[in-house]
Amino acid sequence: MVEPAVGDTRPVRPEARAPRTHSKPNPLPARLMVGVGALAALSVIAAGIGRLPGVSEESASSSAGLDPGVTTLTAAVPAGKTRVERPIRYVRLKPGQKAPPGAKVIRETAPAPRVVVHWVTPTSSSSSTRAPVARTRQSGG
Amino acid sequence: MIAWDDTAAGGPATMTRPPLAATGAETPRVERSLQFAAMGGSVRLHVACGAERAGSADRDLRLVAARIEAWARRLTRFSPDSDLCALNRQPGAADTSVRPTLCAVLRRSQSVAERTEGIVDVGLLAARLAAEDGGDAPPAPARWTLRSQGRGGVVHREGIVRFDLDGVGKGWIADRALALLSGYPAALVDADGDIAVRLDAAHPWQLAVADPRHDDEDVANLVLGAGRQMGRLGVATSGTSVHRWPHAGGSRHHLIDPRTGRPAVTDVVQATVVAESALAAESLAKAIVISGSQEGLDLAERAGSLAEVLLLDDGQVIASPRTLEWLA
Repeated sequence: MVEPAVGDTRPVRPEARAPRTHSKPNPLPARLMVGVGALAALSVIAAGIGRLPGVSEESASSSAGLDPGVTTLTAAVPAGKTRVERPIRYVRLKPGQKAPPGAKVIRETAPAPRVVVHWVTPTSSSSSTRAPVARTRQSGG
Repeated sequence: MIAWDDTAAGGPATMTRPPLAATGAETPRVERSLQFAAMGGSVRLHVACGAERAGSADRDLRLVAARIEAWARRLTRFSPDSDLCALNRQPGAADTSVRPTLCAVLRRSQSVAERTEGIVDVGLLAARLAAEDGGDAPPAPARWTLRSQGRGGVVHREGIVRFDLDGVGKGWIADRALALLSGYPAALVDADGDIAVRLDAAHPWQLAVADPRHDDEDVANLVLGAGRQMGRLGVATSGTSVHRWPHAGGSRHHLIDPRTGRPAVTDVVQATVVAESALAAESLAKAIVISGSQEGLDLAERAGSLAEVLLLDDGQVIASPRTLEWLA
């Protein structure tokens, strides 16, 4: 190292660097760290999107097994627009009438819906505030 | 004073006095009744009105009773002087003129046959008489048609047809009599069990469905006048347990199945129907009994029945789901 001379107003110049003896640093660890950090950030974003309100459990679970990112995007579709309706319409054919081409024809074998009404005791007017005003009955009865 | 117009073949009965306004708010409400014998049974008229009209209500009920007796005299098959007997005395005549009242009932009976898919047929008197006498079923009645002629009509028969109006006549009379009482806020005509009723919103009425197995007991109570069960309605009951007689170790009844010409084989002892008129209710109740519970309830639903209560031969009382809201 050289001492500056007295009165020398020139700024002190740094000592000239010795020539480097080692090679450039390996960028891979840093890139890995950046990549891992980016992946972590994407995961956080993805998790946040996946918990958007309005996404049904059925929608999320229906995509299970697919790529997680795809799952998230699919689940983000508003549930209200994916309602499935299955209208079933029956037409009672009259005698001699034929069903239109392609229509499924079923037979009316199922009994009509009905309710068995049980009366433990004969009905009387005590269940009401007023007595019946009339009785319907078989003629002549 | 009331002026009657029963000569029109199918139009509504009219009164010269305009209908009364509802009276419940201004004056105390009273109910007046008149009961008398007609049509082989008991007929009861019942109206609600303001207290100031009680006197005129009694007079109106007597006038309506007289009108009912006149209609019944024309339509009965048990009086040789009736219009119906005159028609039946010529069962094979091609063309027979009938007066307006009988013409109106026959025209309605054609609608009834269509609505009940042919189950209720007024041309089955021969089969009914054969069943009562223990004879075999006669040949199916011939086709008949009705055409207008003046205020009456002409019955055209293509063969032997004898008519038995039975419940169709009673239902028609109940509906017509109720129309004559249009000036009252609420009115009821009980034509021997077939009931035409018109209600206002403020005063629901309860009707009992008689139990044919026990006198003075009922199988159900119906509440009319609450919610949609307002306005004009008919409630009627048909069955096989009253008109029944012994035959060959068993018994027979009077309801003829037109598909066999014999008393219907059915699991229904009694059917009660609520419909838009007494005639509709009576004809649908009869159709249910003749068809049996399964087929009959299906038919009633197709025909627009409002409610049904059935007593079956195993003692069960059943109803369609739409009936539950009518039950007390």
